[in-house]
Amino acid sequence: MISQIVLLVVLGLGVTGWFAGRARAKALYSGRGSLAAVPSYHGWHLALWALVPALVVWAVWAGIAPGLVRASVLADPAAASLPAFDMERDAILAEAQALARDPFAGAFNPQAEQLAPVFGAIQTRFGLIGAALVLLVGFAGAAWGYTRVRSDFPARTRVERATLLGLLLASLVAILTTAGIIVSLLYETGLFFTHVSPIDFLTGTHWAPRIGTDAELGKDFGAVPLFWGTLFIGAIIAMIVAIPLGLMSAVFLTQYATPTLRKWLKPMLEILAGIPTVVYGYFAALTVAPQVRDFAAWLGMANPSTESALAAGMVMGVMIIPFVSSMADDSIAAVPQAMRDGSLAMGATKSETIKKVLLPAALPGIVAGVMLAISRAIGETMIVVMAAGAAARLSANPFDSMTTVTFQIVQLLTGDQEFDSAKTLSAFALGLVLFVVTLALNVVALRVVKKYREAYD
Amino acid sequence: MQRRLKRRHAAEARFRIIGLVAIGVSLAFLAYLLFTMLRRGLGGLDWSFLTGSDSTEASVAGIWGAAKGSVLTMGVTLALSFPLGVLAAVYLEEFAPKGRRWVEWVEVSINNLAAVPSIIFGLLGLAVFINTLHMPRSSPLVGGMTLALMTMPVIVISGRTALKAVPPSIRDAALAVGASPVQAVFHHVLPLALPGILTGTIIGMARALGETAPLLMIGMRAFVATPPGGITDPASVMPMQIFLWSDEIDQAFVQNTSAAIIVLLALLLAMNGLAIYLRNKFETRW
Repeated sequence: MISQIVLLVVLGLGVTGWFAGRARAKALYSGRGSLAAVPSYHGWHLALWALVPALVVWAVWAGIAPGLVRASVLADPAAASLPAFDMERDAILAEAQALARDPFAGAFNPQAEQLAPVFGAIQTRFGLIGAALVLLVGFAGAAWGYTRVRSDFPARTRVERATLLGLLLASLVAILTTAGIIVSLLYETGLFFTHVSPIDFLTGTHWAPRIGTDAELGKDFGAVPLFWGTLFIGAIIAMIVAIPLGLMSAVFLTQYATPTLRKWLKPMLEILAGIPTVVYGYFAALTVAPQVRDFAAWLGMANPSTESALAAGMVMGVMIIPFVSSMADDSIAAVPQAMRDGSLAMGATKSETIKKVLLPAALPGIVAGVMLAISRAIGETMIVVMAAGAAARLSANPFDSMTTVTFQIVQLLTGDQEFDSAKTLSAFALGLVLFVVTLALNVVALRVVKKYREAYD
Repeated sequence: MQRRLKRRHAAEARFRIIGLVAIGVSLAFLAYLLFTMLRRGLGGLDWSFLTGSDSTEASVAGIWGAAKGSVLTMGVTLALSFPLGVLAAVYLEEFAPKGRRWVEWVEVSINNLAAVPSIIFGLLGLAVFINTLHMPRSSPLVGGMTLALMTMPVIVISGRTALKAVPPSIRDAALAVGASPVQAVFHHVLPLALPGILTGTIIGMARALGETAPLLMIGMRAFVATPPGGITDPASVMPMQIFLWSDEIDQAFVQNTSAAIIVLLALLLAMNGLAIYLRNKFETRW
């Protein structure tokens, strides 16, 4: 509550600063060339000084205040009777906090009720300290900015420098995200490897994750069946569906369809890429999987399972079609017209030209597109979660239920969890493997595309 | 000779038909999917479904609680990813020093982030926002931040394309009459590129709206019987609601799931339609 009011005041200060700066600069104007910058830049300069330092302080305070509140609640005599146990103490503290915010909420723990008023008081105290700090910095910044409004002050240069700094910071977020992904995955994976050796994890064939610390733990964390399931569903079954359909769609759209037909068919095909994966997953589980099971029973298989690698892989393949198609489309379009004309001039039919000239010339691009498609398919989560099943097994029978890396990540990290057990940490190790593999596929694919483009330019 | 020619022409016709069949199969699958959802879901699509929240009883469960969660989450995502994405695109396209090592790193990491599986962003959100920064679990705030990291690269890439499409003569003209580089970009180039950027943003937001896996990681699968009041309350989102209902054993939930899918698909269609409309209306060919 306090924090919202403070934010509003600071924003108000910024707006007022803008007007005040501009007005003062206007008052200084005494003819052409008398001001080093247009008045509104003076306004912006003042507003920046009023806003930025105050907001930075506000953000820092919002980050450290909960820790300070917690520390001083624990230091309070009323908290002396709290159990030293971390988990239990945290639960009581959380309850007290909820009570302090909303006195009508029920408390499970009597101690929380005692603690609630203390908690509330300390929270208010720190809120007021923070508010005072932020306002102080805001007004100080505004005052400093106000003294800068002089006729010879280069306000525009300063404002533009600040703008460029803002742009730079925004583009660094991307690097921060990448670094965040790599660091967090590596860190948690490192913790996991203190429980289970990397060799057991990457080469073991038995997957039955459990909580424990014994020496035999590594035997139950063999991820090979997951890697196999992922490859079988994403890189084999899905591609058997997606490559021929996607490629032939692209050939038809680029070579045979009239412009009007193409204008209608292409967006319709692209709808397939826009459907959320959870919808595909539901469709796979509801409609495709039972049909696959019936088909397996018709083939004479003894009690086939409802969840099958085939159902998940097929639906995933359909999802990837537009992707393969548009990649193939691009690389066919990049083949120089002269090659096509040459082939047709020699008397080849259109289909012969496509098969003997266009596709071979476009092959590197198509291969790169397929690699990108595979990297998408193996990272796909919802379809396999809903349709592929949980059984980790090494089998080449597409009617078997099979599990994938993404499915196991979801399985391990949802529901009740302790974050330091080997079981939950293994999810991050699987995530790291997935990240590395998709990254490698992307890098190689982009390199292939680049090299191939240069060949024709 | 005649026979051989005939054979070649037959092969030609065959090839053409194979292509048509390939497209036909894909579109038939799409039609089958839509038809299945409409057949199962239309019956459940009434006013009480659109305004109700989740419930253990299939007949009173509705989509509004999850829809509100989606709105709040998308709000956070948009508020973070749009400014960051546009500013980053402007910097990389207009101001970044060419050929510097770290600029290349930024470009490479943006291109890679656009291809990282969404579940990895969920792991990042779990490890950083929840386990390290202790932000409220299963809240639209954390969900929106996670999705913003995912959407930002999409906006940067489409933003750069749109900025690149503005001809250099616009910049030159602005610079020639005395504008500073920053003024030239913010007063002239950026407004002209804005329709393209908006189109890319809407497409990125549509993708984020349908995303489930990363939100599963940060625990946005709460059972929410009342719509969330703010961005720190526990919430669910529409795709998550579909996932949760699809797990129910009660057959009556099949209708709810399909109806929720219809609502979600209609929303996505509307967003993509808006993107296409914007592109057609404001696109300038130079």
